[in-house]
Amino acid sequence: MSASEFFQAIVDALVLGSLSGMLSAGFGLILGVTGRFHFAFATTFACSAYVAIALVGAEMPLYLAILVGVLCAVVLGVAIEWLFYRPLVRKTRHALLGVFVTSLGIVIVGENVIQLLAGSSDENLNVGYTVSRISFGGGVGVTTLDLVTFGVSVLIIAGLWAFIRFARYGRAIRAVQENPSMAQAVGINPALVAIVVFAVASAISGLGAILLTQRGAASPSAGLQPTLTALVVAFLAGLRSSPLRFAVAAVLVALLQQLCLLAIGAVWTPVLTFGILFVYIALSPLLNMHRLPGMPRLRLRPAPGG
Amino acid sequence: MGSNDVLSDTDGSDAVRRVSRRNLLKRAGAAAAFTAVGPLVAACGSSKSTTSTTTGSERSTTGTSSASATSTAGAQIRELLGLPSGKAAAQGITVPVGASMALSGAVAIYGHLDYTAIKLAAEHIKQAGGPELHVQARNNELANAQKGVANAREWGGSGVPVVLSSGSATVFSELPYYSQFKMMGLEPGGATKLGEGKPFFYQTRSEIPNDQLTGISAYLKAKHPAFKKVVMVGLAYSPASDKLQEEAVKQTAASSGWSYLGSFFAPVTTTDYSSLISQIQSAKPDFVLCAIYGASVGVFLKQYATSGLKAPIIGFDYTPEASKVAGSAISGYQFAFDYFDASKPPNEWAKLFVAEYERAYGEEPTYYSANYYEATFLIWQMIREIVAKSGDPTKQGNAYVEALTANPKFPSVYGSGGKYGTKEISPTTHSLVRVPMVYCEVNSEGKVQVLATFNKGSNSEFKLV
Repeated sequence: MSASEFFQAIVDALVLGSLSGMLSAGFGLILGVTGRFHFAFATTFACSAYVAIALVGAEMPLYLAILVGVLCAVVLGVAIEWLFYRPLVRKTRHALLGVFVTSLGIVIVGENVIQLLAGSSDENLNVGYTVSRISFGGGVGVTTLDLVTFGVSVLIIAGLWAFIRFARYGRAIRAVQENPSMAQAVGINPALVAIVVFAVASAISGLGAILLTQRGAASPSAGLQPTLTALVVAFLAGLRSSPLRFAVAAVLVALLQQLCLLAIGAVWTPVLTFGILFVYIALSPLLNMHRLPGMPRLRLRPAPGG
Repeated sequence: MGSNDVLSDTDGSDAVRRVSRRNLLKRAGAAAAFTAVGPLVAACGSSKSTTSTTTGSERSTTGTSSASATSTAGAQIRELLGLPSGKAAAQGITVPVGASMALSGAVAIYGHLDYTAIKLAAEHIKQAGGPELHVQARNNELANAQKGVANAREWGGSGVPVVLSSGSATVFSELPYYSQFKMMGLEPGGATKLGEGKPFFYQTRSEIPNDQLTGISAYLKAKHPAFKKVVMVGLAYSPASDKLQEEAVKQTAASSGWSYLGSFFAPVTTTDYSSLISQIQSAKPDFVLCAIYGASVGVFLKQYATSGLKAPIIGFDYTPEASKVAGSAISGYQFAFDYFDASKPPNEWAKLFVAEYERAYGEEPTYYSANYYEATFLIWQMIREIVAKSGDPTKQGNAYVEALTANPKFPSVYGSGGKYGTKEISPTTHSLVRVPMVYCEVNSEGKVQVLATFNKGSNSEFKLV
């Protein structure tokens, strides 16, 4: 690995890690607040990209199409919570597994519905501006698309952090996250909070899909890999952590992936990603016993109803 | 609802809430919004046809497929290929045929291209007075070995005598079952040197990348003699296939006087090629060999175009999907392989095939469709051979292998001039002896220009266009 490859890997990790951090913050928000393993995050992801592509194809201005695409992801995410998860949680004592299986089912159905409606070939989404490369010297550089990806991701992460910290609904989210019963006792409606959480996280998944599609292409199963990576990052960062911690964890994972790719080989990169999760979960009891100040505790709150 | 249900509503009982009109209307509204997404998504994509979407992942077709070929096509084909009729054509016999392909997932486009062609061929064969092929398509997700094993076991157990497979017989997982049940496997999708000489397994297209590298070397010597430094980039499918490709490039580099600078691979699931591009940048090659396939080629080219690197990319694959994804970044992409140019069909049978495919599916056939179409006709040829020797083509056994060994040449939609081209399978390697191939360049509009033609194993047949 040359010096330029190493420094380029750091730059790439910052760009890809910020995007992954944004998606992880959305996925982790749902998991941390509602306890739902919402793998259908991949479905809202794909929905947003395909709707935007369809609308651009129908001559709608690009940024308006993106906005509508993200809104569709919001509607779909909220609908999934409302129509599928909530009734399940109400009726089942141990809803964790039920929600998990339901979300996997939605992913499979969603992927196939997209294939039925839009075909199985990959789709392109224009960027809307000229992509050029900015060199830092020594063979290291970024493209304008990288900068936009990084900028949007950082803005969303910072915005989400500020929303949860300062906004009225954000504080309600934190209250439900910390102690749902007490939050309910003081007049917070947890069902409404769950809807807000799903709306915000689905919007994030939609925006992430747009950014990733502009870098590559949309396919019916394009959301699966980012969702799995988001799951790893969410666990590493701690499920009730701040979005800023998600971002840091995502950048570290992305950096490890980039360096693994350069130093060891492509075959080992997915192994590394899930290896990190495996080692972390295996060691978490020890880490929790001998926890240093500031080290996140691995805590999975029982699912509502469970 | 338990008392610890933190997401329950704070007012009213469950029963009242569940049946209330307000609640019903709310849900109906959400469902309507969910449904409204459908037409929007439906507007997306240029492909008018659809693919399998069943979780059961199986389909079957016989004569009356949705391809619904014109009634004259069969007669035209019989005349073009000089085929017999009646009993000699195996008329009235129903032969089960397995088809293993990607019917769901990210690579379902390949299954779509393969299956549409097989359906059309089965219809044409029946119309031409041939047997009824009962095609039993099963999902292998292109390279899912577990699915491959399950499919091969099913066909083996139910007596299927011949299979059209893909993904190098689902990365070789199906091959032991071909031997065990004595059923022939044909691979028209992705042939490699690793598949050579395997019992009951025959590859009916060029071997990637060995066969292509011959033409690439000849073209670069003729047009770019200053090109000396080469790297290869690819997706890490499996250690064996990665090594195979790497070794093939090394050997070609040695024999062509190139300096081999290395091979760089990205995870097969990746959509980000920044690390590959960074490695190319460090290596500073004169040209890049690209072992990336399908629409992923377009994603790679799209990202490569923004890197500022100028080394030309020469690939082993090209599909219209790649062009669609890459946009203008496809401009200048070069490739070499047994590409089927539907805009210029090379012979009369190919012209008829293109016209029929377009009429049936509203899109041009790709080389995958062409490969599976002609391979289905190869099955009919073997059936005729078996019937001529009073054998039973509906049974497993050695009959298909003996029929192919007795007559290893078969009509092809490839090959220039005349009524049809001809391909020949080696009884030793179980791969094609000769394959007409092209070296091409794609312009910014996705139009393909042929720069040279060449043939497998014959340097003397290389010709600049």
